[in-house]
Parts: sequence; structure tokens; C-alpha cells
Amino acid sequence: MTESTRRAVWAYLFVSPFYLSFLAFGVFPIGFGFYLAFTRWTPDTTTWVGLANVVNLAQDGLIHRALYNSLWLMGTITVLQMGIALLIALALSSTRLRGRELFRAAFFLPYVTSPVVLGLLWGAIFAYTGLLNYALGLVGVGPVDWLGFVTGSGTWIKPAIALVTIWQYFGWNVLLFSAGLQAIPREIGEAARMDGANEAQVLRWVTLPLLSRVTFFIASITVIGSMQLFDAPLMLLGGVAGAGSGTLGGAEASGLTLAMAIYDTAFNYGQFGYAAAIALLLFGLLVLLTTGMRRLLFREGLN
Amino acid sequence: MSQAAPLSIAHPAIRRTPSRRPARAPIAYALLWLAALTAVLPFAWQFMLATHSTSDIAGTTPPFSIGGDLATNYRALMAYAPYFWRSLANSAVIGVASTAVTVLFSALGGYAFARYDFPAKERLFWLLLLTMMIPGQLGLIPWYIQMTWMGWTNSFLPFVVPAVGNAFGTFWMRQYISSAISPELFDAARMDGCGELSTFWRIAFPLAMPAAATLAITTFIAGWNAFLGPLIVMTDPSMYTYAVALANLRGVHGTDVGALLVGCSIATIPMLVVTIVGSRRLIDGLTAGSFGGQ
Amino acid sequence: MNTKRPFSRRRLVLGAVAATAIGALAACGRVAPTPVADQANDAPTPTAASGTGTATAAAATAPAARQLTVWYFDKASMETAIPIFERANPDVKVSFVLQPFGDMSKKYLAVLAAKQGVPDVVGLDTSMVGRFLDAGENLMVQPYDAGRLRNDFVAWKFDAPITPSGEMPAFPWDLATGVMFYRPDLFQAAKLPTDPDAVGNAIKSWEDYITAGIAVRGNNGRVAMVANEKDVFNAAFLQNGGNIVVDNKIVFPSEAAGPLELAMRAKQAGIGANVATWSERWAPAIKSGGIATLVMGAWMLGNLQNLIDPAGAGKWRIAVPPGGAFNHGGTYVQIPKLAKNKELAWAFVRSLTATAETQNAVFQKTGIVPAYKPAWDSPLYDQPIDYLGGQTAWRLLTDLAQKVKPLAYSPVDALGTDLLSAQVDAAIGGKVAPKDALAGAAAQLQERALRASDLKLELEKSAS
Repeated sequence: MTESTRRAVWAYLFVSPFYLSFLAFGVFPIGFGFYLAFTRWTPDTTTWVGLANVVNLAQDGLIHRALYNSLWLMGTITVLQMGIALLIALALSSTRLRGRELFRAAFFLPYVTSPVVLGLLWGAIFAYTGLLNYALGLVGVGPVDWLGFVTGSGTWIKPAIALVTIWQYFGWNVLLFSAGLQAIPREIGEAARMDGANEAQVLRWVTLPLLSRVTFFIASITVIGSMQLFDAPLMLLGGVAGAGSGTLGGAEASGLTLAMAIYDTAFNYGQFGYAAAIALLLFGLLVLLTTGMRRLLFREGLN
Repeated sequence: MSQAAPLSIAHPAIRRTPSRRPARAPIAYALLWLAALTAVLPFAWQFMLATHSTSDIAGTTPPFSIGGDLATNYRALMAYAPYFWRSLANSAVIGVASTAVTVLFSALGGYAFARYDFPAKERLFWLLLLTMMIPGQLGLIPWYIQMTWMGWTNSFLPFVVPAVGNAFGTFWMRQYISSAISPELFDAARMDGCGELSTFWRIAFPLAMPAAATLAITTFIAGWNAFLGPLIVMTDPSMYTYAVALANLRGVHGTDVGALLVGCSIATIPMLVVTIVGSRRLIDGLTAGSFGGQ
Repeated sequence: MNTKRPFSRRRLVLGAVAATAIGALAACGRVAPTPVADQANDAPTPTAASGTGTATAAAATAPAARQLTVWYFDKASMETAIPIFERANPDVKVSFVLQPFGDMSKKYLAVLAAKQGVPDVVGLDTSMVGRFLDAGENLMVQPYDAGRLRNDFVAWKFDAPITPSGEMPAFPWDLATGVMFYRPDLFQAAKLPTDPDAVGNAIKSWEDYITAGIAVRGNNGRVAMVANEKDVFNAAFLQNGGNIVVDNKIVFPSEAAGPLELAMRAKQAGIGANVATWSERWAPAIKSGGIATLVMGAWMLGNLQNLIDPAGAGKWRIAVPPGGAFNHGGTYVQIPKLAKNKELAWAFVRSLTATAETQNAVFQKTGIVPAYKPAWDSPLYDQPIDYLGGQTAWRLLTDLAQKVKPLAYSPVDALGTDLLSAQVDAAIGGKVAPKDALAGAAAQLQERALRASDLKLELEKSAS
């Protein structure tokens, strides 16, 4: 056994728990889930329908809506959340800042807030007679029907969902960006400044390029996470005390994400096969997105 | 994948040099304070609301003070969910056990991806990333069916054993180890006669502790908050997690929000402690240079 | 009204119930006198021995306790009912598992799919019945023969879960009669009558309601008649039956057309507070006296009294709702086809739903009115309700409950309701014309039912 073979055997041994666990606990549920996409399924009966669900998906206006909503939210959340987090991480990197660690811990708090509290809080903020409209009223704007309950207009639902999501996860991105920033040797920036570069130029030509690894990591998890967005719309549009079943994404289906469509279709309407087809669509979309992103951001490969 | 040599930072000493960048303090402080306030306020609000009755919470202006109904709310919580404390212990078991398993095996897998070259490595890694993209909702029922086959209902096993395969954790540990730990260290260890396993256990794992701490915090929070899985798998209320126990408070004709908030507040405290105590490690973990350069 | 039922008939039915109960008891070698069994001696029926023979033989040697697992989402009612059953059946241990209301259906689906861990009895909210019609044991056949109990129950409630093929997969438990809660103080300020009977007479139709709403709003506009116009739609739609699909025909466009028009007129009249029902600002608006009426299920009394405004005793009254009787929620119980102890489960279901003792104990504890009419003979229903300023409102509820129009459940209820609800919101908000909204929702439902469930639903010809 050559040295490289021996080392490869060890490597396989080390990575094997992941794949064994996936084989044991992932393959059946996921395989079954995707199999369902080609069936019409109830606890009693399974009927093979071939591509019928997929074909129907292509013609379903509600699913088109959900697809658009998911992509809109993914784009908005990824760009804004990463932008805000980077800005805050830059502010945190100032030398003379006091209480840096306290700030970072504080930013992490929304991540651990319970969904119930989030629902109560943001419900009170976004209600037609709520806090945000009260504040807007003071400066003569509005009222805005954030959640579309009053005017039946879904215009503001997606921005509201994006706002809640960004609020909840920006602290996590701040941590990751801070790590990336602090790993950049200061001397590089200093040298650029010596050569007469201003702060914006240092940021554009020194800091950002050096952050590409962390940027890829954050972008990956943010895209994957925001495409599977589910809690925030359910919480905002379902209501804390609400006794309703599905929501169909509120007014004009504006808050219907693909993940919500899967959930409602399966668990509220009992159409498991169709839900599985939507899941297949979402999965395919994520694969495309992450592959494209990898090409775009990380040309030299994952290592 | 041809260039297997991981990128690393040449001089740890330089990396740890404190910033000499001048602070544009007023703007920076304003931004930070604004962000910190929006993040902290809901917390303060949650603990305050937990001391008010549902009726007060439904007042015209939501109260922003300490109320006197904490005990009443607590009693209501105990009436609805007498096993609430038991459910907290269950959440703790799932949180701690899944965290230990996840951290250990993610570090092992991440280390292998970061340090070794082996056939099909990139394809295997891509497969790992793919598993992160599978929408979770759909597997719920087949997963439950499998758990009944295995006889794992009313057990913590479904939340602990599969934690061996955590894609995010492996991805994360690999990123950290490949960029923050110098490969020379491993070579040196090997020269000293360390086996592959002991190189991991004695060198890589301790050095990756900071990243492991970060992973531990997020994994613990996810395990502590586990809801859908336990909801389906646990039929015995004494095995419920706190999130399932609290879901029972949402009534068909209205919810006792005060009692619910007491439960939420109690359940938040361990996460708060983990975050604050762990944040020292967490920030160390991140600032030790997980993403050196590109 | 309790004299309309001949006593002998009731005794006969009770006797049949009790006889089956004795059969179940005898199975464990123990014939204990029970509240229902007392009346059984003079009316034995052939069902007494049905299906219990083998159990008798086994039990004779081992009188082990029998287990029954019950799932439900309300603690107080079930924990009141179970001890009564256990007292009458000392060898039975009922294990009650409280389920989260919003998530119980997921858990139920999972155990049905796995065919393991299925409970013996499940309490289902009205909104869940349609989805689980397939899962329930048909109670119309032997050994259940539920049809014999029909005359003891409010007719529409009993008939609603019966499928077109005559199967009955769920059994009625309680009522959720729609009423109009109103604030006499706000009515007085608007120079409207304040006495429940007078209010009922003054606000008979929805037209009267809108007119009163304009008076309530008055000049300052601080008080609204209703939280939102959707509530008006919902109540009026339910008054028409509130059906989504009947016999594979999409019927909601015709049932919802009038109610939607009405909601539009309410919007024009400006009688709503722009607060969405169940949203975070809803309870505050109710508590602060910004809303003069709530046209919804009588169960709202418990919510007002226990949660929203416990200190507000005397503020509210109940009257006959404008537009007449309707049903708003309520529960059924189901014995899953996959249940292990079906006979025992049926004995429990009857004890729970078809005995005055249990139903009235639950009623006393929770204020939930039973669908089992003999229970109403109790003087409990003549008692004044403190929270409603001493109003004796229970008889009003039982009277109204019998006037509800027939309705039917279907597997696409949840989907249809959500699709309809979204379009109604859009129409009330002025985004689409009401007619297009209903036709659009119907087309969406037809399409989705065909595509995802292979269910061919017809559109009504008269619609749109």
C-alpha cells in the first residue's frame, strides 16, 4: 500500500460517518419524498402518475407566484443582509471601539428569539393600526397595509418578510464577516493607504477581494436558507393566536414561498404527491443557484 | 481540485496584530447602537410581557413595564403543560447530545476534506453540499415511518444518532481547518510518529476548538428548539421537548399569551447563557482566522 | 322545546347505548352498574353481544386493565369527560394525550401513514373533518349503528360528516353556534336598543346591521361596528351553509356571492375597524372598546372571559345574529380505521358525546354546548351568565343551533376555504371585482383538485 493510498483510506474512514449516516437516515425519507413526486399519495393508496405532477406544476399559476416570491426574497435578503452585515462588521473592526464583544453578542440575540415572540412583536409592528404605521403617521406617511389584511394588496408583504428575516439573521452574518475581516493582515491595508489609496479604494481593491472565501460561505448558506424561507411568512401571515389552517401566502399570494407551498399542500391540503413535485422544483433550483454561484464567486474550485 | 494544497495564512503573528485603522467613531457607534437596540429590545420586551396577563398584553398600548402577573402566568403554564420542566430537560438532552455528536463528527469529516487528497473528493464534497439543499418538510412522514420500523419512537435516538451527518457542520469545519491551521503542523506531527487518528485527535481537533465552539452554539440552539421531529416521534408527553409542550398552549379559541411568554422566557434563558458564555469562545473561534485570505 | 321528543323514544335509544356498554363491560367479566346502564334493563338489544364474544373468554382468566388512547387539543373538556367514563368502567384506563391544535393533523397523518401509534379516539375540529373523512371507521354499520342515535343530536351536525355514499367517519360532539356579541354601552351611545331581545328585533337583517353600524360609528368614528368586513362575509357565508363542495360540485360561488356583496356594502359604509381577526391588534381593539359587535361562535365567550378581558364582566351581551343562525366551528370525534380497540373506543365516544352526564359536566366546566339534545333538559341551561351581565343566553344558543342550514364536509375544504379567503380579501380590498373573485377561486379549486388529487369537480352552472 503506497503512502497516498494509505492516506486515502484514512480519509475515507474519516468522511464515512457522514455518508453512512446519510445512507441510514437520509436516503429513505428523501428518496421516498422524491418518489412521491411521481405519485398521488394518501396514507391508504399510492397511484403512480408519472410526470403528471411536474407537468401540472408548470401550468400552476399559484406555484409560479411562489417561485417568483421565493426568488425575490432570496435576492433581496441575500444582498441586503450581507450588505448590512458587512457594514456593521466594518464598523466593529474600528480600533478604538469599546464593548465589541457585547455588541456581537447582542447582534446574535434575534437568532435565539423564539418564533412566538417574533410573531407577537412583528405582528404588533406591522399591523395596520400598529407601531410602524403610527411612526410613519407622525411624519405624515401612510398608513401602509404591510400584511395586506385590510386593502387586499400584497405589495408590502414581501418587504415585511424580508425585513424580519434580515433582522433575525444579520448578527450571524456579522460574526462571519468579522472573522473574515480580522483574518486580513492589517499591513496590506496600511500599505495601500501609504500608496495614497482612500478608504473606499482600500475597501474595494484590498478588503473585498480578500473576503471572497467568507463571502462565498455566507452567500451559500444565505441563498440556501432564504430559498427555504418558511417560518417568517407563516408567523406574519398566520398570526400567533390564529386558528387558521393554511395561509396561501396572504393577499395576492404575495407571501407564498415555495417552502410554504410544499408545507400547505402536503399538511393542510393532503396533496403529498404534488407537494413532493414542488419540493423537487425547489431542490433543482437550489442546485442550479449554488452551482452558478460557485462558478461566479469561486472560480478556482471549492478548495 | 487539482491543487490540493490548502490555502493558509503564513504568519499567525501578523494576523493577530490589532487594527490600526482609525475609527470614524460617531458614525460607527451610531450604527452599532442602532443595530444592538433593535436586537436587544424584543428580548427585554419578552421578559417584561411575561409578567403581564394576557388581557394586559392585549391592552391598547402594550405594556412597557414590569407587571404583577408572573405567578399567575406561571400557574397557567403549569396547568396546561404540567410536564414543562421535564420537557426542558428533554430539550437539554437533545441539545447537548446532538451537539457533542455533531461537533465531533463534523470536525473529523471537515478535517479529512481539508487535509487529505483522495479520489472522488470533490464529488463527495458536492454530494455533501447537495444534502443541504433538500427541502426538509417533505421527508417528515417517511422519516417517521422509518423511525417506527427502527423502534425509535418515544426515544431521543432520532435526534442524536443522525447528528453524525451534519452537512453544514462538516462544510464549516472544513473551511476553518483548511484556512486557519497550517499544514506544516500536521506534517510535523506525522514526523513525530503520530498516527492519522491521533494527529486529528491531538492536533487538529484542539486547534479547531474555536470553530467547534461556534458550531456547538448553533447546533445546541437548533437541538434545544427542536419541534416538528419531536412532535411526530414522541407520543408520550413526558418525552416532549419544550417547544412541543408550549405548542399545547395555543388553543383553538384563543391563546393564553401570558402563560406562553413565561414558557418562552424560561426556555430562552439557557440559550442566552450559552450565547453569552459561549460568545467569548465564539468570537475567538471566528477571529482566530477561519477565513484567511482567499 | 324539550317536550318535542317523546320520552319513550329517548329511553329506547339510551337503552341501546347502555346495552352495548354492558356488552363491553361484560367482556371483562364485570357488570358494574353505570349511569347509563341503569336504564338498560328494560331495553336489551341484539347489539349487546356483538363482537365481544372472544374478548369475554380471554378476559375471564385475566381481568387486566384495558387501555384506550385518546387524542384531543382541549385539555379541560377531555379531562372532565374521562374520569366519568373510567368510573363507569373501572377496568379501563384512558390515556389522554393533549395535542397542539395547530399541529395535531400533521401527527395524525404521520401515524396513519406509518400505521403505527394510531390512537383509538381522535377529537377533530370542524376544519379538520373533511381531510380525515377517509381515515375514520364508518359508524353507520354494526357494531356501531350510529344511525339509531340520530334523533338525539342536532340534525345538521349529525348529518354533515356523512359522505355521499352514506358512511359516517366522524361523530358529533359539541356545537359552535354563531351569535352576535354586542356592547350595550356602545349601542346606548348610538341610541340603539340594548336589551338582547330588542337588539335581535332591531337588527334582524344585515341591512339593519350596517345601518346600526353607521349609527355606532357616529361622528367621532372611534368605534367600529365590526373588526373587519371579512367577519361579515364569513358569518353570512356560513349562514348560507358555508359549503365548499357538495357531491363533487363546487357550490361556494353561489353561497358566497351574496355575502361578498354584503361585505362590500359594509366596506362602503365604513363600519369596519381595519383590524384583521386573530391578528395581534385584534384583542387590543376588542378590549379597548373600539369594536361594538363580534358576529362569531359562542365559544368567543370563553376567550373574552378568560383571556382578552377577564375584568370586563357585564360589558358584553349576546343576541340573535343578523341574517339568522349559523355554525362557527365545533368538534367531532373519530375512531380511526386503524384503531386497536374499536369497541371500547365506541363505548367511550358514546359516553363522551351521547350522555347527558358527561356532556353537561363538560358544559359546566367549559361552556361548550353539546350537540346531544337530551342534555339540554338540565336546568344548567337556564342559569344566568355572569360575564354577560346575568343574561340567560344558553337557551338562545340551543334554539339557534337547531336552525342552522344543512352542510357537508369534503376533502378539499381546507384548500377551497384558503383559495376563497384569499380572493375575498382581494375583493374587499378592491383589487378584483367580487364576481371575478369568486369565479377565480372556483376555477383555482377546480384546477388544483384535478391536478393534485385527480378529483373532478363540477362548477355550478348558475355561478358567475
